[in-house]
Amino acid sequence: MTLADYRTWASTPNSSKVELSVVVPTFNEEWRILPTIGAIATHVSSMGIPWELIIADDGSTDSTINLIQAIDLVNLRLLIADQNGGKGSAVRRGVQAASGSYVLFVDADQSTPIEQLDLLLSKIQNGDADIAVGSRALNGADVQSKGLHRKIFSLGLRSIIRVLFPIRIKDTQCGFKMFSADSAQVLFDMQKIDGFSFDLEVLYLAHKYGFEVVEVPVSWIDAPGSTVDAGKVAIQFLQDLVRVRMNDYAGHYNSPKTAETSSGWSQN
Amino acid sequence: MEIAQNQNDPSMVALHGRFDANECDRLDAFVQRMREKGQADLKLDLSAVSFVDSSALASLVWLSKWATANNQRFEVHNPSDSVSVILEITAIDRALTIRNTSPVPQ
Repeated sequence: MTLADYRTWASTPNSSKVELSVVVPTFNEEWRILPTIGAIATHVSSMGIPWELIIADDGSTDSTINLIQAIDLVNLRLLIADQNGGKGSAVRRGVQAASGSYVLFVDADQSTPIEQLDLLLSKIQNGDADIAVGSRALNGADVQSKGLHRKIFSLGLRSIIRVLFPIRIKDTQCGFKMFSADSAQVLFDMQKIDGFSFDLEVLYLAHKYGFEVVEVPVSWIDAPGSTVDAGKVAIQFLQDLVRVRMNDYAGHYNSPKTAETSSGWSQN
Repeated sequence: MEIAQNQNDPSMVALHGRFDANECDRLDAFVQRMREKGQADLKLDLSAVSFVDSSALASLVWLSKWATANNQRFEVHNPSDSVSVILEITAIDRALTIRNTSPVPQ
């Protein structure tokens, strides 16, 4: 039934409440985005739940937008930005536009195969967590084709985070994270980092406001053709670590809109 | 990704797993060895492939072009649902010969 499920999803607008929103940030992904959309659409459609796909483009200057518009899937929403604002800004726009009870954000390169979402979704649906984070650092994770320099880079970042931040998530940067709608609304309304370090900021805020976060080991395959400059990202990441701390000291994370009207969350 | 040649039909090669840029060279080398042994026709069974990326799609197109230029046969057999959708939305299904057939016994 998978192919039939996909065709129904592709041609028939959701008529009931969206259960799952899948957010994919893109920036100049003309070579990768269509296979990724195909894989996501086939798998999630087979789950038999109302769902939407949100592509949050970040000012692509290649043909990414044209390609997405051309495939014309009725439950796919394309968010277009006038200019490149950073991955964090694209994910924020996508999550804030989401209408699902659960929101998954996933990188455009399918480094973590979409089939892994079942593991994360069950954790939130079972009430084990508000946020489920894909992890390459836990026992049980299956990491393939990761180069030595990237392994060293990841290990270094993890060590720095462990020393400077109270969060105990081993892999903050895996581009495969799921949020309950409530936690997504609170956290992404407060999120200020627009670059690649937004994950860390969101997890920091999740800790601060007492959301339950669970790390789930996932499969991960290094996808060649990354458009990311690792050196620049590393420097920016270190700057952002300081910025998150400074934002907190300055009180910029003290007033989540939803938390003011809810009783379940308190600051740690 | 696993690559397996069918013993009963040497032109039939089945792929298992994820077919992406990390695997294209292995498939190219496998196909090259087949050609060196005189097996130039190729039927690629993608029924157990979960994902193809753009590099893999380019490999499929290249195999098809090579076959046409050399008067040989290249067919994609039984693509999985996920691969079928990817071939469809990239419009690469129009450039390939795709057949949905009964599996050939190993």
